[in-house]
Amino acid sequence: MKSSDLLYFDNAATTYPKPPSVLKSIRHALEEAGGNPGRSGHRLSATAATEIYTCREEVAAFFDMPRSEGVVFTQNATYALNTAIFAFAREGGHILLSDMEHNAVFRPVYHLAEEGKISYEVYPTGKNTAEEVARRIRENTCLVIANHASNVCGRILPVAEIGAVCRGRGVPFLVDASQSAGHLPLSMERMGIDALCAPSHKGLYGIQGAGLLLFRDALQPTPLVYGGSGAFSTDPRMPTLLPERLEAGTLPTPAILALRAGLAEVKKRGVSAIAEKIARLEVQLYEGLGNMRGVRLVLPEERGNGVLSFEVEGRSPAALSDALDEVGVALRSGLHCAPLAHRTLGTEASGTLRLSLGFTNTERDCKRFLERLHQILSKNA
Amino acid sequence: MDTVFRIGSTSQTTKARSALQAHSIPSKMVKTDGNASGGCTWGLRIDRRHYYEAADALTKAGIRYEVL
Repeated sequence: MKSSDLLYFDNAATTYPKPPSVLKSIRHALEEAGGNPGRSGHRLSATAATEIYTCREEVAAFFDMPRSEGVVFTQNATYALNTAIFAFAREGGHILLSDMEHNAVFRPVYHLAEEGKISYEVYPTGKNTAEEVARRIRENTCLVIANHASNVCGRILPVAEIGAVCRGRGVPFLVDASQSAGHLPLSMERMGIDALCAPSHKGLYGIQGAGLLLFRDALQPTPLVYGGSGAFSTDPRMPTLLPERLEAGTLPTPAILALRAGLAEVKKRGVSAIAEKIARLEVQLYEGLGNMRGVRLVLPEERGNGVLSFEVEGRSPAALSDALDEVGVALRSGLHCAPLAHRTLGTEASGTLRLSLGFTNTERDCKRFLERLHQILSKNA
Repeated sequence: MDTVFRIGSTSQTTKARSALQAHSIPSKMVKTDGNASGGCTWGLRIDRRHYYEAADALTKAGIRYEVL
């Protein structure tokens, strides 16, 4: 099968294909900015450092954050979320997280609770979410976490409303924007977000190897990793200032410059235009799937970020995913590393089949997917 | 004749460079020698003619520096 025949619907795992400018940026990084950023004084190193800083500024502007120094590059979104959670957690504190969280949030919170350092509570989403958060905030609540857009279904949390509650009560607010960055409008300032985490390789169209951790205020979070920062090396402690405090070791210049190129593509198209296109394709998929016998859609009434889950009566999601791969359809089955969300949706037993859209998907892709699925289901009916 | 403003980290130094660029002051990012008080740091090499203007721009931008 030619790669042009592949129907890619696994953009929530990583977007594919990447725009040509992203591929070009990687070559540029290796050829023109191939030095180690922030380590040596020669031009290749200085170019890398300057271009990385420019990327920080562009990321800060994109998420409406006033301080580019608060843009920290991490290995991935999971690493960013862990760092943020550990930074805000305090002994005896209480953390609120939504019932849609990914394990990148749930596991570090659970770990802290298991060690007896914090307690946590899961708040329900779907109706009056901000009120549910407000009702659960206690004297010792040290952090509220929200998954902006679910990686399992189309649920989008009202982050601006939750942010307003948190700001009013003086509780830090952390947003996991893994499935929304680049697909939905986000403003840290207007939405009252204190920290935001996102991968570079999903809706921002960079490549795997870089994540984003954005701190609105000048904090001194405890690092997860210690090591060289390129400056002040006689001090045995990590630097006090961000971003160096949280960036021990060599930064992945190719991944960061790829993120910069991906971000430029997103800005060129416009987040609102991307959101509209994805919403249109979602409708097409929901309608097509809804007309197939035995198909059960998960939360079809909640749409917006291009992620939709479904089940087929009497079919294992894994086996169906495998059959679809045989006919050139890439999607993902299982629990999507989000058992909490599947528990909420009642799909924990075997998970779901998940389709996830990106701005490169087309109406033709969706039509062809529906035809191929229909063929499989008809053949084995 | 050149002057080096020692800033600190590469991020702060790049920020400082942007502040100077905004005032059309050319500068080069340089690594400064390590010393007992802090180890390697980064700074900006500028033409001495721009000294006062550069110092003023950095101060206004809230960037701390040390002149080497």
